[in-house]
Amino acid sequence: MIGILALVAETAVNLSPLGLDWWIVLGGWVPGFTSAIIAIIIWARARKGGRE
Amino acid sequence: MMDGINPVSLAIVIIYMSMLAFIGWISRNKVKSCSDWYVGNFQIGGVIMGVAFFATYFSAVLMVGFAGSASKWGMSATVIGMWHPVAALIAFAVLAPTLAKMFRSLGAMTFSEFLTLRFKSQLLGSLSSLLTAIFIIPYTVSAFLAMGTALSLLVNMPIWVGIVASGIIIALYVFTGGLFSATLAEFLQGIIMTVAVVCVWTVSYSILGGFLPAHEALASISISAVTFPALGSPLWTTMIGLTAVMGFGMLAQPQMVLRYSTICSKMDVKKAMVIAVFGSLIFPLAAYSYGPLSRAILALPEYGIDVMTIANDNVIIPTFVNLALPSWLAALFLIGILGAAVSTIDALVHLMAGTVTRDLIIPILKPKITDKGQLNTTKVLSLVLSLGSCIVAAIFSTGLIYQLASYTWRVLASAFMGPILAAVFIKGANKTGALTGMVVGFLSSQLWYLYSNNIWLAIFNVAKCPIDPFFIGVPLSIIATVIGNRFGKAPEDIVKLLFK
Repeated sequence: MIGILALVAETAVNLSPLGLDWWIVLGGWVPGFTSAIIAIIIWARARKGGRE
Repeated sequence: MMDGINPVSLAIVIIYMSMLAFIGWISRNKVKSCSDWYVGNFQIGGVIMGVAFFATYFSAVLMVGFAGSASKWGMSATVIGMWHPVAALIAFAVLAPTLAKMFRSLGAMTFSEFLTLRFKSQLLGSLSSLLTAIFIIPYTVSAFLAMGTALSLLVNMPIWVGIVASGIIIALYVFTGGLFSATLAEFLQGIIMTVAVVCVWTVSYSILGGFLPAHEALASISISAVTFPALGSPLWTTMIGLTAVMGFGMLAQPQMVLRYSTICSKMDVKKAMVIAVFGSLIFPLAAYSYGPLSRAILALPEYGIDVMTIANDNVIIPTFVNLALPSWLAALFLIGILGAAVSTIDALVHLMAGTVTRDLIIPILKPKITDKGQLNTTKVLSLVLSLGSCIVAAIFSTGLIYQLASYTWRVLASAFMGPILAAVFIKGANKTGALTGMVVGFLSSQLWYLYSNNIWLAIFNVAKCPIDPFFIGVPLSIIATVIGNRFGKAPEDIVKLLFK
């Protein structure tokens, strides 16, 4: 499997360990998951504030 | 493919549609006034509204249309989907708390009525209502098309039968229950469609041997299936344009604004935010992933289909589900499609009927009409508009789903982004600014849409313009609103009421 990935990486230098282009990971997946984490933090803080 | 109608799938469709009719019937006692029908009397809680939000946001348009086109675009399509949760976060964390308060304080029941009351301009409200009612039709048609195509391939019935049957049921249950029944049904549909999409996503990866082997399989077909398109290429233009339109364009879509502006309390907004953001993350990630994965699966020797040779993108996903997935999953997907399509169509029908009655018929024709009469007019209109849209869909059944849907989003975002942002953030915003922003945003995006490719060809000798009309319409709408505000005066009583 690693061999095939290495072969793919040779033809596409931007490939991340996920087997996808770094542009896809950094330009899409990172902002998407970050927004989910921020949503949880905002909700948790509001909940804590509501209890106090 | 089956020769006759698939009885199991048909039974699923009938049971599902009966359930919707039942929801409409039980909701009828909840609707006693216009406020109940239009905004659920501002009593809809956070959990239900959070699910209803992403059930409205995503529909069969994404599950079938966008995912089908994504099978040709490759995994770079996931970038489009991954900006949806960012937009949902902005909607709930930044806009919803203020907008919900403003809607309640003004007693606004539709998006256009909100603009009328906020800027004290009936012209603004009626114009925005007219734009909404006209340009929401392509989106409604695209949702009917997605459902009809899926039904025709999975149940093996003519497209028009599927479209007309679902149109009748949707019309009936929105007719009886308004926002109560629409939101209640959307809550159930949101859960079902998410389960369906996530199951198809995980099974697709498992067919290809897991996460990395699946991406390897795609890369072995074409390296472009796992890489982002080259800067400035036609596909790059499409990706960047759709990311902006379907992500940030959502913030100014009247049907979406109505969802996050009618929540009952501040804490409910936070609850709805978490659910909406997670739904907006998982659902599009799954749909934009199984689209490209279907290319690798259909290319396996047992199917031997090259999706690039399929002319109509709309049929790729139904074909993939029909051929490559186990029958239980095909049935679940069918239920998910029905849920996704119905939950969006009902929101659009609800929006169209509401705005035409309240912002066009009543203020312009000024009929002597009671609250009950108004409610009945809206209900009849919801019936007429949903049946009308499904007839249009049945006639133009070969349109490309993603193009129809993104066209509506582009037009409405360009027209309303300036006025809605000004209404929330600029204390001194006034009708001159809002009207200027709406007209300039709408006209510039339309003109760019019509002529950009010709202009680009004449000046730069490039066949396709790399700048999406969204990037012209939305900034110009905001700039024109800000400039226009300098030539008018904000209504003092409204400013006092909303910004005290």
